[in-house]
Amino acid sequence: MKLTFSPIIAVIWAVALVCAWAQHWNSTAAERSDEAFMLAPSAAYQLDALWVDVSISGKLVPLVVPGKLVVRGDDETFSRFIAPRLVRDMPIVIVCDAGCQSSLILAKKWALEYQNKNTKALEGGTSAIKQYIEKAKSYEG
Amino acid sequence: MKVNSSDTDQLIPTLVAWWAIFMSWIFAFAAFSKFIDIKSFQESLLTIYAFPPHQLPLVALAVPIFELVISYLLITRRCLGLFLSFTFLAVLTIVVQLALQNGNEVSCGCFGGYSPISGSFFFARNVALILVSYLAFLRCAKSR
Repeated sequence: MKLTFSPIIAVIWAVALVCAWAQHWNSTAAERSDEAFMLAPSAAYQLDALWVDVSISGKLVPLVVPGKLVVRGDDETFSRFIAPRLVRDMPIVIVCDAGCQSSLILAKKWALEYQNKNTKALEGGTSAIKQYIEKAKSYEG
Repeated sequence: MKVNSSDTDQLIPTLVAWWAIFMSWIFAFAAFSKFIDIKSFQESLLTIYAFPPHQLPLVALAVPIFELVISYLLITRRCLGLFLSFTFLAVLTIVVQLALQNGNEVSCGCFGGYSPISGSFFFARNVALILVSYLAFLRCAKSR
C-alpha cells in the first residue's frame, strides 16, 4: 500500500491534536484544583481540627479516634460549631465514606463562601482516616 | 415536494464522505489523547482484565497507533477505513461490556485519562457509531 499525503489528514490530525491537548490540560487543571481541597498527610496534623462527619453512618471518626469531637453536617451543628470556626479560619476536616464526594463538594463550598483556607476533605471511609492518621504521625516524627 | 433520485444519489455519497471525515477525527482524537497520557491509558487497560499486566505497555502503544492507521485509511481508502472502524469499535464494545458484566469498575480510556464509564451510555454511543459506520461501509462497497 502506497502512503499518500492528504491535506485533509493534516488538518484533521492537527485539530485532533489541539483538542486532545486542551482536554488533557483541562482535566489536569481540575485535578489540581480538587487536590487543593483534599487533606494531605504531609500537611500539619489536623487531629485538633473540628471533624465533620457527612458519611451515611455518621460514625466514621469515633471508630478510629475514640473520644474525638465529631459533628454532623446538619443545620443545627453548622450554626453552633462549624460557622464560628469557618469565619475564624480554623481547621475543619470533612470526612465521608469511600466513593462519596460530599466532603469535597462541602470543602469547596465552605472555603469559597467563608474564605477559609483550612477546610479540607478526607474521603474513603474509616480505612482512609486510619491511613491519614498513621501517615500524619510519621510526618510529625 | 418532489425529491429527484439524482439528488439522493449525490447526497448519500456526500454523507458517507463526511461521516468518514468525522470518524477520522474521532480516531485521531482518541489516539492523541492516549499518547498524551499513556500511563492513564495503561491503568484503564488494567481495569478491563483483557491482557496480562506485562503486555500492557505494548498494548497501550499499539492501540493508539492502530487508531491513527484507521484515521489515515478513512481518508485515503475510505471503504477499508470504514470496515476497520466498525470492526474495531465492535471488538472494543464487546470487551468492555464483558468486563462491566463481571462487576468491575471499568474505564475504557477511550479519550485518554482514567474515568469510570457508565455502561449504558458507553454501549448506546458505540452501537450508534458501529451502526452508522456499517451502513456507510455497505454504501461505500456498493458504489465501487
